[in-house]
Amino acid sequence: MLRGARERRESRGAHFRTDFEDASEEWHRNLLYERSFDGMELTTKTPDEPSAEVQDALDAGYELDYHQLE
Amino acid sequence: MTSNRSIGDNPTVDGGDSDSDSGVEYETVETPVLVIGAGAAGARTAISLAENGVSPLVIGKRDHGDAHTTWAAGGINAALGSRDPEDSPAIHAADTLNEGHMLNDPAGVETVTEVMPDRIRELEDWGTPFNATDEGAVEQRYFGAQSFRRTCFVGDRTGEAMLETLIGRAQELEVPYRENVQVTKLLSDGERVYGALGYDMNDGSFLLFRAGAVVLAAGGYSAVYDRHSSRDEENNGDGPALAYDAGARLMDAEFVQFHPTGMVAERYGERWEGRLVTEAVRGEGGRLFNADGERFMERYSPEQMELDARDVVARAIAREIAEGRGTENGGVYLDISHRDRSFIEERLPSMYARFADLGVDLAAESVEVAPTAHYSMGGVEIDFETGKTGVENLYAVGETTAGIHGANRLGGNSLAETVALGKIVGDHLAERSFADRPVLPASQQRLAREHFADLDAMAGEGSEVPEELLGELGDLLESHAGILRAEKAVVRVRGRCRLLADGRRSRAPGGPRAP
Ligand SMILES: Cc1cc2nc3c(=O)[nH]c(=O)nc-3n(C[C@H](O)[C@H](O)[C@H](O)COP(=O)(O)OP(=O)(O)OC[C@H]3O[C@@H](n4cnc5c(N)ncnc54)[C@H](O)[C@@H]3O)c2cc1C
Repeated sequence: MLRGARERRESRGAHFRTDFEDASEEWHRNLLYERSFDGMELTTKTPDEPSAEVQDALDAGYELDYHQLE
Repeated sequence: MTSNRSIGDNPTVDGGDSDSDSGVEYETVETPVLVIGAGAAGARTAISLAENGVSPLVIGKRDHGDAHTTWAAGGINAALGSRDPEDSPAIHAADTLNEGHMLNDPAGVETVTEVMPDRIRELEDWGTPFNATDEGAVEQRYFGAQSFRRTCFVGDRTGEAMLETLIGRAQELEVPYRENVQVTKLLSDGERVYGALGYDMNDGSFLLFRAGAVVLAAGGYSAVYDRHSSRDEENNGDGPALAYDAGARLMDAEFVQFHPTGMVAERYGERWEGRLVTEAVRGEGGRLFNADGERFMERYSPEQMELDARDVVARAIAREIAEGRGTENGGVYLDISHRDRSFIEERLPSMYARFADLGVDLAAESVEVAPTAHYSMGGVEIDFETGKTGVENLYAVGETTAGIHGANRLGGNSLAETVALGKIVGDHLAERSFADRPVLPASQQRLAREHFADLDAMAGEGSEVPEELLGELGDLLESHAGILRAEKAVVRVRGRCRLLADGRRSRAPGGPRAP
């Protein structure tokens, strides 16, 4: 957890770095942690793209309208 | 304490075969599939297996039926459209990806949102008493950062009601289980898993489980933080630690969700430190105020207010407190007293009763809250069509895994994940044949004997007090890898952790180490 918190030099979601307050496109990646011969090895991978249908829903920009609750 | 029981005749325990050639006695238990974890994820996996004719053995660290899942309160998401017909699984997926800041596994997310309406209907058929609309549809409430009312609920005791249903269903199917067992190591050569080692928490006796497949459904790791919303001995990372030790890859471990509204010990007493005030309080209209009486979310998020993403609301509260606008007790106020008493009693019965016991009337006054470590987005990397990890015969499901929630989780999505993927993993495993299990290789037998000898040595002596070490670790994580992080602090705390780990290793060789 600490290795990852240091490695990820950006802020995204629940991970907030006071020394890197913004999200970075470069870090649109997952960190992977694996046990290796000499300790823990960290690698990264890029997440897949969503399906066309979900991409459409993302593009439509739905969001919660709080004021319905008032 | 309840004694160990099994439902039906228990064909999987091979008659207390014990082995003492190493000097340490242990019992060997055989099962086609060992499910480690009796929360919603483990229970749902076991149901699928049993429905398909495979009889798994389910184990847990507590009495059966009393898993972490019972603490889930607010609800479970499914795009049923009971209130907002416009909603759809695709929009549910889009909301999930937005909240996860696009680090989620999109195919996994879509699988969950697609099947959730069916999983809710199934739970309803099996007897979960979901709150209903006047027309008899499953009622749905608002939850943070969701475009529509999508969260189904049983008052504010959804997890408990759901787990009762699942355990009831598993008992109907005569799924064998064994309670109060702690697994301390998986039998693995790094490529393949053969079973698990552990001990009976009632009498301390050692257990060797031999299994054709092992499903880890052992929960998350948020309770390693000092201030957290779980019970102390749950969610302390056993699942990911066991998997890592066995050679599986972990993912997204840096992402821990801090829930905005945990109770404040200074106000309610130590035993309530970090305990959750469900998001449903805000979902039903609850408002946040700082000590100056200002509804501060207007400044941070004028559109979504108190129901913006959890990280946004948690950071806003942390900032208000840090900048001196918190209460004397180190919190902010959460207030739902503008709602009618009858509405609060119906929608939030547990919260209403809990605060009433503490002498606080939710219908008349506000409560004091501050962020608390709540959920671990990271965990074991799996394949979402099967639950496979990278290690043969090792599977994982539920909060123990990573990938559905990405960088942050929508409230109500983790209960969804447990039942959606539990069925998928169980169905997949049921297609495999467990007819013949190869003999346990000599290397694994040696591993078992060494591990039991280590446990045995550890049980007696030692200079360190585990509670103190864990307490120190929790404080360190809290202050340096909590809501706000910085490189320098993280480096310093890692050094300190290494010292702690060295101290511990001299006591606990071979035990699972939290990564
Ligand atoms: C206060 C609170 C409120 C929540 N509210 C909601 C909500 O409203 N909606 C929502 O979707 N989610 C909610 N969550 C999250 C949700 O409860 C969990 O993510 C979910 O229940 C996890 O289920 P699980 O089956 O994966 O694991 P768990 O329920 O954590 O079960 C883990 C099981 O593994 C066993 N186990 C662990 N380690 C070992 C070991 N070493 N050996 C043997 N057995 C072991 C445990 O005994 C237990 O049986 C809430 C969480 C908390 C703490």
